[in-house]
Amino acid sequence: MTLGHVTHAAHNGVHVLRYFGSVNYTLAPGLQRFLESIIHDGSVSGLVFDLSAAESLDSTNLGLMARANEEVRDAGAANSVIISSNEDIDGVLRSMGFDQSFEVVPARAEQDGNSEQVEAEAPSAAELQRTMIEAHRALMRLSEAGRLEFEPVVACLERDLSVSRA
Amino acid sequence: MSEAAPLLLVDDDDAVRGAFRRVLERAGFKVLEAARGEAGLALCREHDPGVVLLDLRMPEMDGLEVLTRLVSEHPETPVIVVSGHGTMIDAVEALRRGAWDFVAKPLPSNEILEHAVRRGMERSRLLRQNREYRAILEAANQKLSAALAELRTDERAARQLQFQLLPSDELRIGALAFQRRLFPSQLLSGDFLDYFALNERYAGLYLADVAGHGAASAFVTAILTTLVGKYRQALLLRGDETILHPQQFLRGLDADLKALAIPKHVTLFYAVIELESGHIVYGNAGAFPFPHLSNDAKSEELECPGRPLNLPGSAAFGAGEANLEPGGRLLLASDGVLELTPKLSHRARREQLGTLLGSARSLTDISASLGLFEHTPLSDDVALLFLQREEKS
Repeated sequence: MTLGHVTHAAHNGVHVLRYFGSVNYTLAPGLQRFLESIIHDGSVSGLVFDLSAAESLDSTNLGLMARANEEVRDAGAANSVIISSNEDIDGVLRSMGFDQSFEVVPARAEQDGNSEQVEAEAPSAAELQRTMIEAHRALMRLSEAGRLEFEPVVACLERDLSVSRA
Repeated sequence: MSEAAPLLLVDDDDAVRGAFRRVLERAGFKVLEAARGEAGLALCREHDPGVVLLDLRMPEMDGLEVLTRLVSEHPETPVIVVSGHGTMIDAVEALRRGAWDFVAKPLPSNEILEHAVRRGMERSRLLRQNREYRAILEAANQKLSAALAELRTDERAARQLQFQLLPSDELRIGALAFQRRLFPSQLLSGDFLDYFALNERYAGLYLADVAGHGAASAFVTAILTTLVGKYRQALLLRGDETILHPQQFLRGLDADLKALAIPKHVTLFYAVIELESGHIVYGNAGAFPFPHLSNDAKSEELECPGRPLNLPGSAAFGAGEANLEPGGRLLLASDGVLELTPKLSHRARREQLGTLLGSARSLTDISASLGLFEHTPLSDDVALLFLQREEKS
């Protein structure tokens, strides 16, 4: 079991959170504050939860994702996107009905650039989802080319705290 | 240590003290002086110097005796012994009694004295810093221990409450025999289950898991039993049939929990069983793994995904119907079962549950086959609920 961590990057208002290892309740309070801070900032046009490198997520973190999704949808954003490639995690997401509140995209389809995987109820929603997946892909390309760093969420929080103290 | 500690010179020879003071003050040290052993000890108590430079040969109290007392009274203060009759025997005896260093008189060079004092000062500074850190750590540790003890007391109370609210190990309602096991982990969590007669025609059962850990999650299980009790009462007292209909019941519980504004979601599988026919109507709010049903040694998984209670989302609750034939069994397990060692994929573990249910005679058999015994160390609670309908006689 690898101790989990979460990193973050944003592109055109699309915020991408990448989950690594076993993400459990010890990470939840920090992650919650971080999500609150970016959502209340008002700049979020979409949330992408990239779980393709996660080994497991506990119920506290799943709850956090559901609540964040609800908040950005209330603020007018499309359903958040979950990118997943782990059969166990997929099973848990489905058992809780997440496939109906989120757009769950298999990591392979996402890498192939096959946006057709995304089925949304309205054309505008489908477009938003495509934008989100494209933003995710752009960020991943920049990151792989070493031109962008996904920042650990903890570091983002610490920086925000030092700014607000100053 | 905010300010550099002074240095104490103990020597009966005024000229030597004067010479040493000049050298050391030029090197930046603050110097205290004493001409006799007793006076030196008194200054040491008063000023707590960083280093003591001690002449071994003095009238009244001998240098070696002063050294012994200094070492016992101020074990952290390095003592540098100075002797004009610099013999090896003096040096060895002084070091044996706890001196930190030895300097011969007359000084071969000022640098040797300066260097010895500087090293002594550094050692004393580190020792003091170490002691201060240790004191800070000990204080912090004590505070943490106290807080931890308090949390543990809370957790014990919560755990006790959780266990007291559980139904009896084995319960018979008509032709139905219910059994349950709760294997607690190190970390208190929110697994809970219950079964009960609803009226003369129906029995009800549920298995719930409150998100998160700790006393708060355990207390939500207590709230849950109170809420369920409310619906059972409503049926008996007012004929309110909500609890006979899993979908209505789950919607009711969802609204109740949301009204309480508890920031924890709950997964819950609920089933109503008709005693006479064995007909089961169930609803599922995100409980996983799904229950297994076995009739005639054939097992099936009752796949019924659905939104957890007290969590936003557009999904409906899971729903379904099934029949528990005579001799048939039903097995519910909390998600802790997916974390058991050896670690299996969820799919493999779910298949194992189905196979076990088909062949096992009792819940004890099933627990043992899963490697679950009374003191098995677990990373998450495991709750098991087993229901068997009597064979036709």
